[in-house]
Amino acid sequence: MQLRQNAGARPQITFTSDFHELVQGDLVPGPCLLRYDPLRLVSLGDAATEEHHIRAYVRFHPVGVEWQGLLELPAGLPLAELADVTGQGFMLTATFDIPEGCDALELWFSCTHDDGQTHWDSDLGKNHWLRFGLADLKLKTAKVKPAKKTEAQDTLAFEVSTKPKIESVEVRWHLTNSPKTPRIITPLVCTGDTPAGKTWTAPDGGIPVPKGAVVAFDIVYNVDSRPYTDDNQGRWHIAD
Amino acid sequence: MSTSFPFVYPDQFTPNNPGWSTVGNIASWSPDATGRRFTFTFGQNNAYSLYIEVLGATAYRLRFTPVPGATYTTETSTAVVDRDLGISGLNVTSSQPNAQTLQINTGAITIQVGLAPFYVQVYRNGQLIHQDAPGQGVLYIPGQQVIAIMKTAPSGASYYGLGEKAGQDLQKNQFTFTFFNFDNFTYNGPSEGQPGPLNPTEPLYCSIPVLVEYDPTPSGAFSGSAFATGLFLDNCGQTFANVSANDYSNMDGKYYLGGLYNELDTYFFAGSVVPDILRQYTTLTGRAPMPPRYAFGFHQGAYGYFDRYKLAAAANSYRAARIPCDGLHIDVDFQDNYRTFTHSEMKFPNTKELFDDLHLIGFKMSTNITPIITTNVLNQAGEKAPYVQGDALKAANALIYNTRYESGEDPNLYQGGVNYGVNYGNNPYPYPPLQPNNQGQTPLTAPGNYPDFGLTNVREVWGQQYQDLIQNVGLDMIWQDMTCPAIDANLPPSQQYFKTFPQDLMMAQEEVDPTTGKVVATNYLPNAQLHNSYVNNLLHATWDGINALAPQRRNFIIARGGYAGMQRYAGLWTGDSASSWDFLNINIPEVLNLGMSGVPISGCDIGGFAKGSGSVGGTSVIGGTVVGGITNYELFTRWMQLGSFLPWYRNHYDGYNKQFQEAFAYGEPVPTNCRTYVELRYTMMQIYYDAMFEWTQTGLPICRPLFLNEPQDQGVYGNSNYYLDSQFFVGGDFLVAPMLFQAVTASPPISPTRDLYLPAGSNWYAFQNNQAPLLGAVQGGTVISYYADLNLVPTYVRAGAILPFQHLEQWVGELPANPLTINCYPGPDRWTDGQAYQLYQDDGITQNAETKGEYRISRIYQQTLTNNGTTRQVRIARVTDNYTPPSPFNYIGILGSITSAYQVTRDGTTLPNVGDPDSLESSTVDAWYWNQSLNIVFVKIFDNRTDTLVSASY
Repeated sequence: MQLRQNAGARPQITFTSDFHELVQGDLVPGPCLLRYDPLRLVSLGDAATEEHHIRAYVRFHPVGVEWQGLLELPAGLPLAELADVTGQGFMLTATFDIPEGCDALELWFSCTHDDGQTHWDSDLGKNHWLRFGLADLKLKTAKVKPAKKTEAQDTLAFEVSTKPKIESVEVRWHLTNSPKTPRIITPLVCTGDTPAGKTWTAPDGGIPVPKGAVVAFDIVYNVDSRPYTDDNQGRWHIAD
Repeated sequence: MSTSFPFVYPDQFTPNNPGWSTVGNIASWSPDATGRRFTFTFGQNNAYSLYIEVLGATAYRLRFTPVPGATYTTETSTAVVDRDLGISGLNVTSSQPNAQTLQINTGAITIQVGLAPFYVQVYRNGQLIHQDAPGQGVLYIPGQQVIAIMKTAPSGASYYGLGEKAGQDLQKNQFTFTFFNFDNFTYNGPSEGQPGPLNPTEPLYCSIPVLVEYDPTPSGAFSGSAFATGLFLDNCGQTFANVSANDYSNMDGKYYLGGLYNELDTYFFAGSVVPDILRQYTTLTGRAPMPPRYAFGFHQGAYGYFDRYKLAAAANSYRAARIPCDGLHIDVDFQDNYRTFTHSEMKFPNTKELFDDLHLIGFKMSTNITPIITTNVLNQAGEKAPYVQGDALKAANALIYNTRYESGEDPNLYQGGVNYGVNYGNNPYPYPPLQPNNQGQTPLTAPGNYPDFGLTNVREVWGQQYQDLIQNVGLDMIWQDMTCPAIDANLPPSQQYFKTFPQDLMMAQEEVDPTTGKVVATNYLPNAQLHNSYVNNLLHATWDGINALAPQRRNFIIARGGYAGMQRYAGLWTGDSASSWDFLNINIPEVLNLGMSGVPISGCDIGGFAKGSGSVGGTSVIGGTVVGGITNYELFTRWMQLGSFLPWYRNHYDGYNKQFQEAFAYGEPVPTNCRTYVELRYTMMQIYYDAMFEWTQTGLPICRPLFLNEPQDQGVYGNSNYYLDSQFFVGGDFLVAPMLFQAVTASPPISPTRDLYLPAGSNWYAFQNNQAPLLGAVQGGTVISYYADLNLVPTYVRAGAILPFQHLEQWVGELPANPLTINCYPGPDRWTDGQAYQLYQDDGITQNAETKGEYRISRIYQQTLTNNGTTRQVRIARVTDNYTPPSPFNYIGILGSITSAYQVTRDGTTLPNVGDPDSLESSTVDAWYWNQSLNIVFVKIFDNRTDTLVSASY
C-alpha cells in the first residue's frame, strides 16, 4: 500500500461552502485547527451588508468535555470584504485542543444575524460527527491480484483492521482506467473479532474486476450507527 | 515545529523599539590587502565584526553577521552576481581626522565611519547624502538572528522601488512593508489593516528589498544638489522595510530595512539621479540578454483552455478578429493529470502538429510549469503509468525530505500539494482518482514532492526535464507558476504554512568561495531562512535548462514570483489580480516600482485573473459551459489600453469562473477599441525593443515614472502626486496618461475626463499616430483636462522626439521585412551623441546577437537649420554594424511639415518627389513626398549606407 496521507500530522478540520466536512491529519491530542467557510451560514448578499460572528461548538467523545469559541476574523474586517464564492474563498479559523482519550468529535455552529435571528449549521439538528480514519482503520491489504492465465478476471482483495467499536465497513470503489464504469459499494466481511480489534476482508476471497483494473476507493464505516468516511484525506486510496 | 518561525506582520518587527543593540564603540579596525575592505571589531571580547567594502566609486557593501566569530569567507546570495561596480582604477584612501572618525574616500564619495560609537555617513562633494539614524544605525539583538539598519530620511526625499508592492501610490513614503513570497490570491492576504490591492503592507509573490531614494531639493543637514541613493538588503528570509510609517512607533525622519534571520548584508549606492542607482543595482544583481522580440507582443492566457479545441478557437478568433497576438499561454490543463513537464494527448491530440499549425500563424506557445512533482501514481487514463520526469528527479535524489528543524533526519520526502480550484462541470476531462461530488463539482488538487533547488545538481536535473516540451512538443516559452512555492492552503498545518512550505522544513543552500566561484559547503537550513530564494533557484534551473535544450534561440520565462536578481532569468507578472478598478489603479505604480527594482519586464493579468467587483453577475455552468462572470466592458477596455503601454502585455483569466475575457468575444465597440491599442503596441514595437536594449546596458526601465525622465521638474509631484501615480513614459519621450476610473458605466455616469500634466522643460504634441496633422505644441508645465472616450488614451510626444514605428503585423515576424518609419517631431535639436535616439536591431529570435555579436546599433539625430529658410536634417549613423535587417529600406517621417519641402536631399543628392504614398512605396530608389493632409514629409531611403544625412528644405 502507498503511505497514507498525513499519518501522524497535526489534525485539521475543514467545513467547506459546499457542505463538505474534511478531516485531515491524524488523531493527535493537542491543537486542532478548525477552518470554516462563512458562506455556509451567511449568504454573499448578507455578507456584503452585515457583520457576523460565528460561534463554533465542539463536544469531545467519549470524554464528554466541550469547547466553544468565536471563529476569528482578521482584526477589524467585516466578513463582507473576505467572503468570496469564486476563487479560493476565505476560511474563518479557530484552534482547540483535542483531549486525551477522545476519538470522536461532535460539532455545530451558530451565527446571529443583524435581525436577531440565530442560524445554525448542525446537520439539521443532528450535529456533525467526525472521526479520524487514520486512528480507526489500518489498511492491511488493498490489492488487485492478477488473474491466472486461465481466469477471465483479476481479483480485488481487501483486508482492513479496525478498532473494536467499528460496526461495519464497506469500500466504495471505482475503476480509474474505466471511468464510465459506475462506482460499486462492497461491504466487507468481519473475519476476525478480538478485544484488540476487528479484521475485515472482501467477501468470497476477493472481488472480481476486469484484467488490468486500477482501483481507487474510499471506506465508509459505522460507529454507533453513524457513518464515517476515510477517503485518504481527500486523495482517495489506490489499490496496489 | 513551523511555529518556531512564524510569519511576522510588519508592525511586529520592531527595531525602532527599545531592546535592540547598536554596534557601539569600535575596538579595532583594519583594511584588508585590497585596501577596499575595512573590518571593524566590537562587542564583548571584540567577538563581533562587520565590514565595509568599497565596490565602486559610489557604492559600498556593509555586511554584519550577528554572531561572534563571523569569518565572512563565503557567499550564498542568489541575488548578487557582480560586486565589481567600478573597482578597476579606483583609488580608495582612508584617513583618521580624529580618534573617533575614519574617513574612506573613493574619489566620488566619502564614507565617514564613527568609531565611538559606530555610525556611517556618506558625503558627496562635501554634501551629506546618507546617514545612519543617530544612535541607531546597525541594530541587532545578541543571541538572536534579527537584524536591521536604521537610516535618516531627509525631509524632502521620496522613496521608490521595493519590488512588487500593492498600493496606488508610486512613492512609498509613510508605508511599511514585508517581503515574504506569498501566494496572495487577489491580494487579500495578511496585512496591517484592511487587505486588498490598495494595501502595500501585504507580502506578494515577489520580494525585492531594495529602496531607492531621491531628494530633488535637499534641505537641512542634507542641503545641496539633488541626489539619489539606493539601499539593498540581500536577505532571503522574511524581511521588512519601514519608510517613516508610525505604525508602532515614531518613525518620523527615519527608515529601515531589516530581517528576521541571516546576515545584515546591505549594499549602498549613490548618484545624482535615480538612473545612477539603477545602473549600479542592476550591475550588482545582473541584467539579462535581450529577450525574444515576441515577448513584447500581446499575449493571451487562460486557465480553461483545457483542450485543443478551446485553444484553437481562441487562436483562430484572434486572427479572424484581426487583433494582433503573439503568445498563447495554456495553464495546467495542458498536463497529463497534473504531472509537471507532461502534456496531454487526450486533451490536445497531436500536440506537436497543433503547435506546428499555431506556429505557422504566428503564435508562440507557453505552458505552466509549477515546481511540484506529483505523487499521484495515476495518469489521466487512470493507469498506473510511469512519470518519466518525476522518476528522473526521484532517481537523482532531487526532492526535499521531510526533515524539520532540530528534529533529526526524516527518511520520507516532504509531501505538499497544489490546489487548482474547482471544476464546476465545465471541464469534461478526467483527473483520476478525483471524482465529482454530489453537486457535480470536483476540487482539483494534486499531492506532490518538491525539488531542492538550492543544489546545483538538482537545478541541472530539473532543467533537463523540459526536454520533451521544448524539443519534441515545440513549446516556445515557460510560464513559471506557484513559485513561492504555493502549497494548497487546505493541507494540515504540518504540511503548509501561509500557503507555502512549513517554515521549519530543511532545505539546501550552497556556500561559494567568492574567489573561485566553487561550492565549498552545503548547508541545510529551515525554509524560514531561505524562503525567498527558492524562486530564484527555480528560475535559475529553468533558465539554464531551456537554454541548454534550445541553444540557438532566445528563450523566455514569465514568472509569478521572484527575489532580487530574478530579472536575469525571467519577466514577472504580478500574480492573481481580480477584475476591479482598484487593481487597474495599482497597475502603474506596481510596474514602475518593479522597474526601479531591477525588473524591466512586468505587467498585470489584463482584465483581472479572478472575478472581482468589476465582474458582471454571477457564474454558473450550464450545459458544461461557464456562463457569466464577465469583466465589465469599460474596465476591460481601459485595462487593455493601459496594458498596451506596459512591458508585459498579457490578458489572462480564470476560465473556470469567467465565461470569457478575450477582446474578440465582447460585442462592439470593445474589440475595436482594444484593437486600436494592440495595433499601436505592434507599430511601436521597436520603441519597446530599443528601451529594453537600453536596460541591458544601463538598467534604465522600459516604462519610467515622470520624475525619472524629468528629475528637475517639481510639477510632476503636483495634484498630490496624482500625475506621478497615473502617468508614465515609454522610453524617453512617449507620455501616457491612461484612464483609470469608471465613467460611462458608473452610476450615474460621469464624464471620462482626467487631468494630466505635461512636464516642464519641453513642449508636447498630442500623439496623432500619423493619422492627423500635429496640433500646436503645448508648453511643458501645463495641466490639461483631457476628455477621453473609450476609444482614446491620452498620449503625448515630446517636441524633438525621434520615434521609430513600423508597419502593423498580426504577430512579430509576420512580415518578412518590416521597414521602419522614423518619426521626427519638430522641436529642439538632437544633434549630439547623447541626444540622439539609439536604435537597436537584431533578428529578434536567435542567440546570434548575444553569441556572435550580430546586431546593429544606430544613432538617429535631427536638427533644424534656419539659414536661408528652414532645413530639417536627419542623420542615421551606424555605431555597431554586424547585422542587416531584412527590410532593404526605411522611411523617415518629418512631422510638422506644414508646407511641402522644396527639396529633399540625401548626402547631397537631390531625391525625387514622387508625389503620393503609393508611388513612394513602390519606388525602387530613394524618394520622398509630402502628405499635405498630415503635414508630414515622408522620405524613403534604402538601407545602404553606414552614415547618411537626409535634409528637407522648406
